[in-house]
Amino acid sequence: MNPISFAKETDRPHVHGEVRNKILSLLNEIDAVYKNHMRKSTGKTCDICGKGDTDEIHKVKDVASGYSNRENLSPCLCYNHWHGWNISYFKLERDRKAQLLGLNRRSGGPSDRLQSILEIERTVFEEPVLSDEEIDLHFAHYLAKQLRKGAKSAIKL
Amino acid sequence: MELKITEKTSAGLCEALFEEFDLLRNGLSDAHRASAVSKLAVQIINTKKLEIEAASFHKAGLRFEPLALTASGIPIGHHESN
Repeated sequence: MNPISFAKETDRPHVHGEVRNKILSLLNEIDAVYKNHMRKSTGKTCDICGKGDTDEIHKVKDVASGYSNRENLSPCLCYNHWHGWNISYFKLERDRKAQLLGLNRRSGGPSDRLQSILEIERTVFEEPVLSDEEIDLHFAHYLAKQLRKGAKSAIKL
Repeated sequence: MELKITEKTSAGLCEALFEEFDLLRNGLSDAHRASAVSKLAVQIINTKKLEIEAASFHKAGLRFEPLALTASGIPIGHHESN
């Protein structure tokens, strides 16, 4: 039994009550420290749209996917752009893994596609499957698409 | 205005695009220019992607024959009569 489930148990309060209350108060303290920290603004803004932190979930991420080995070069992205880039990046990474394993993700029925996804997920690649150059290039493509989108909406207005 | 030279790498291209975002946000660029920059960037990216793909084929052992053009060029629109 871990401390959290122990603290939430209600049996034999006359024996464990005091200890349980102490654990619960410590948990509440930890929760308050955590929330206080998470609500604090990072002071950073998104490099694409210029938006800052909106709440504790939608904080500006200072390390984008694919840039963990060179944090100093990573762009800062708001939640929406970080999410969009993640989808794009992981699609490219999965395609490359499928290529390396000789799988065709586009062919066959849903069960074949599921099998190839499972095989990709089960395989451990010792080295990164994408080079820094490829990640930069793919990120440039993502940026170009975002710029195009921004320009299009500005023209419509 | 100071002449800005883009570093000719993929990271340099990202920098140039970020700069365009900044200009657009600050009203120093307009939507048509931003659209043109993005289209140009996509062309550069596609060329670079093709180069990377060709390099991977080359690494796998595939050899490319250079395209031989005659001095007068390739005639278009009619077959050579024998």
